[in-house]
Amino acid sequence: MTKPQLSPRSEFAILNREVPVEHSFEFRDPIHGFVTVYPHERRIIDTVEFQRLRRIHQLGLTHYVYHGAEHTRFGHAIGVMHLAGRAVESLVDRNLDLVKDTLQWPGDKDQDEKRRLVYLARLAGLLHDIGHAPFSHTGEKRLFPEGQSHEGHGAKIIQQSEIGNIIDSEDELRRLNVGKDEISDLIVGKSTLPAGFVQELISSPWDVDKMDYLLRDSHYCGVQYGTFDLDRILNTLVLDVDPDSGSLKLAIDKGGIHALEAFVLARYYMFTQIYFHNVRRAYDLILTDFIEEILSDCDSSGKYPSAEKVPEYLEWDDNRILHQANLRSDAQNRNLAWRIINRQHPKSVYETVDFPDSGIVRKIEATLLQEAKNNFPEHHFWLDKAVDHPDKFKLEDMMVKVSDNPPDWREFRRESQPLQGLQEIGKFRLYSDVRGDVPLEAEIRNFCRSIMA
Amino acid sequence: MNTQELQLAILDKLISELGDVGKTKLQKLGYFLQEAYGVPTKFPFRMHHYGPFSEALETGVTRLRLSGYAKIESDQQGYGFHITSFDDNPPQEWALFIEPFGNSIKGMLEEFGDRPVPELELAATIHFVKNLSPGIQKQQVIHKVRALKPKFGKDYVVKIYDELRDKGLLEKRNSKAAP
Repeated sequence: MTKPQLSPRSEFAILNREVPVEHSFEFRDPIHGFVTVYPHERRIIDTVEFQRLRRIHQLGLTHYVYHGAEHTRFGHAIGVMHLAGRAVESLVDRNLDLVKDTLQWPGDKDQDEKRRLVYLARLAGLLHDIGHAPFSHTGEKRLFPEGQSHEGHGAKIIQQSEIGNIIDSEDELRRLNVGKDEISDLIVGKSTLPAGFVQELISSPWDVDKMDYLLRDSHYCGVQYGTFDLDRILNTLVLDVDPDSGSLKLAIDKGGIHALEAFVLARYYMFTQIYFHNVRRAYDLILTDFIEEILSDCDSSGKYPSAEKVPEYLEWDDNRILHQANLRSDAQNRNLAWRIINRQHPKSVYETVDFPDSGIVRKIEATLLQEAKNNFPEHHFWLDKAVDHPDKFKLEDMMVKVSDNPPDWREFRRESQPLQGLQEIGKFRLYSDVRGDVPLEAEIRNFCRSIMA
Repeated sequence: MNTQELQLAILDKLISELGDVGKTKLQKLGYFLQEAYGVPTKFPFRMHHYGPFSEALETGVTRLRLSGYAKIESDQQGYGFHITSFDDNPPQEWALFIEPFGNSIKGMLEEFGDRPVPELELAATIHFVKNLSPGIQKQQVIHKVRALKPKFGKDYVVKIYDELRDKGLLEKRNSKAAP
């Protein structure tokens, strides 16, 4: 089957019929080259809520390990917007009859309907991380109020800030029935859009968020682990009507199987090599403790302001945390602030392999931390559990289109032998605040080994 | 007890009660236990292709596997997964954690445990859509669900909707506080 080639800038040509070229903008992005930005998107980018993302590091303190990783959520958001638009436009163009029939588009409204989906996807991509806390994922499970998350905070920010006003006041968005509610729903995963593939592109195992962050994080960390053939994936994504529900879902053409495999493996290697790096995780631990300390001075809960307090929440960014670290740094006591400012992280004194035996995991959870605390009471210990499951790529059953005639669809996970061997990563580590005392460090290591023997 | 411990204890209980359960089914049963029976597992659910889905629930199953309390195997044809209990002796405190929710677990399993997966998918989607917008009318729910899942006939969607409503399972039940 001959496929139309996807031009990176085709969105510009098609969508700009009612947006004169001189009214659009182009941002130069290190990953995607020139990225077109529409006027309403530019207005959103210029808000104080969006500019805050320039002060949220994409990977916490990863630049303490990979010094290039100083990038922020700002660039990532622009990249996801760009990819979301490309993907939707390409999918609709290459499956137009199927989309029209399934979604029952009125005959003469193709362009408007397509434009509506592209705008929705781009805005959801642009705003999907608007609610991130300082240093992105660092400590977010512990520091958000119970049951809340950066996505939920993001939805509230869209609803209650200037961003929502911009979306709801733009004539073109109103004409196309693109509203802030739909954008919020896409971000928190509660969209009931009949074009369900838009939700999949924003949040699923093969969403454009992952496609952007793998490439971007690799680039800024100076590694190659996260690279894969982005254009090939976007060119071979197709739509499939799910036989159980009748709705449209993402699938991949047979020619894209290996590109998709590479994408899954890229994510796997980024986790083992970057995101679960032992020093990187050490900074997550002490930074989380330190942020909790600061938060506790503001509110006894030690949590970020809830989603109901958008203005207060938006006051939190990396600069505020680092400013506090500077103020509180105490060289004599070598406190957390001093450690953060001076790159003095806890040392890993015990760690498992990437795929530990269940007996080891149980023993670590049940005894190791407590035993270490009992035997070295003057020292502080942290237990880190880094878990990721690459097999979630098998969960949602992406289908592979093996042939057109006769139609033959198969499960991606059945067609991909290399991925069938992937296991969940479970890296468990015990860290200690011992630093510089080599004999003591060795003593603790030996003690841990004896406990785990 | 923190929420994560309760999550693991509840998942372990569901898996051992069901004997052999697939991932999609476990997701939907976890959804109903939390959203319709009010057990405070606090899994964040998002709308995915096969209805409400929680990545945190999936991670919980992974944690059980890593600790040796559950086994996950794909079947011989490569379609679907079988999750089974792998250890009859979970931590003793887990039994205490789930004790206050015993009736809810039993009731949920009696109501939904034997239903086929597509029906669970439909029922969970109806529940999700109904509780997404406060005050949404029945016809709007039916319309939205049918737009999401066109293969389910209108009569079937209405039947499941009415069944959930008549049994008092259509509304989101607020989490009971963990003891």
